[in-house]
Amino acid sequence: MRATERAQFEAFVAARSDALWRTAYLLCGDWHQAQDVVQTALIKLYVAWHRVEQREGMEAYARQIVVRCVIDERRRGWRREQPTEAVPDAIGHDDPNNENRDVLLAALSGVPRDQRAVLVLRYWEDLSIAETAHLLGISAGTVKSRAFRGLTTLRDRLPAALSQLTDDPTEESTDA
Amino acid sequence: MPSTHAIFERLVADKPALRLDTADLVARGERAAKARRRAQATGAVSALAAGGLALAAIANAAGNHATPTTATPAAPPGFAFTSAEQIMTADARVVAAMLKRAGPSGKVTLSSPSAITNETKRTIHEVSYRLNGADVTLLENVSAPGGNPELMTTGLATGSQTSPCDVPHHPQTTQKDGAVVSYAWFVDCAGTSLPDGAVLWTMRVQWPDGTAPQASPEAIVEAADGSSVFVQTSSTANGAATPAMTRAEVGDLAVSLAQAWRG
Repeated sequence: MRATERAQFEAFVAARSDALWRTAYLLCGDWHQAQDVVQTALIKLYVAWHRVEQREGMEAYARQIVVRCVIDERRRGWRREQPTEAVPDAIGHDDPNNENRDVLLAALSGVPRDQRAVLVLRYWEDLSIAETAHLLGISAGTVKSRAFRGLTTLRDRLPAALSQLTDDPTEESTDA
Repeated sequence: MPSTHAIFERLVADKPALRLDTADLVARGERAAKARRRAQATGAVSALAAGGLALAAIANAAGNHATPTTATPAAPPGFAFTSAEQIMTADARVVAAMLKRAGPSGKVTLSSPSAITNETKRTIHEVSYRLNGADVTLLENVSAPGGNPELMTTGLATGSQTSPCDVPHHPQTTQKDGAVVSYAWFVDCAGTSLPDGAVLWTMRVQWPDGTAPQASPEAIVEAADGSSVFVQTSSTANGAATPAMTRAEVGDLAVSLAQAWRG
């Protein structure tokens, strides 16, 4: 890689690695695994850097690698995340900032990975149905059905105060 | 009422500090790039070796219609095309499954070694057999993740399609190798979600010129990672096209071949 490309890569890492890490975390539910995934994705991105012609498309390309890295890690059975059968009743009232986080994470962990990937891409990354379908290699109809099922599962697992999610799985993103 | 985005924001609000060493990333990236270049340099040799071993496995499978006796390394994860060895063993399982389906009269047709194994994109097998007086051909095509556009070279999809069921109103195109592709008109196409997150598409295909309507159904299993197993069937009896199998049968065959590929 030439010096100018290396500088571009380093700038990309500085600017976007945090965002990729958050997305990876929402996909896999473990900060350490998410960090490993981001590192793997960035190395793959480095190798492919000269092949990605449009720099503005770099983030989408990196996001795609992250999603596939998470899927690959799960295929290997290397999963630290332990989905729970039921949302715990107890909430840590002594720490308001953390009070719902464990509950939320447990609820999200209960959403099957294919549906969860759709939820993260649609409602965290704000990708359109078509963009989500393209990234996951599935049809738009499958995106909608997985979003519907994923939101239903999430609602069922969230405590009552949080379970009235406002999202419509068939509604297209405004930036689509 | 919170939005899902708000839920996600709460989850990442306490994000710890990301510890990334950019210099280390660059060094590991350089090593990965060098390894890739070395693999590409030796790829042709590996592909030839894989083709030869695959042929041995196919011959073995053709003899007894059972699982080939070649040494089998660890089962490949999904459809990932990670090594020639993996393709060889997965190929052997797929061919064995196709021959088992074909029965005693089944034989493998190989037009050229390059058509058997392409370790970066896809692998193709063709099995022909006779059934109830008809000549039946099964063509199976496994595409690696990102290899779905390979369907374009067979005229069964275009780059703008989100599913094989989209009718590709698309003019003829000329591929880089000079081949002219006419895109099919799909009729009677349906998708079904499978338990593992893949989607099974079954369809009957009619070509735009109307000269060779496909009497037999076809099926594609699309995994969540974008890889696919594609099964085409054709059958003729007394010079006329006739269904080789039912839609459900070809769908079952595609699913079983996808399972055979995974091992």
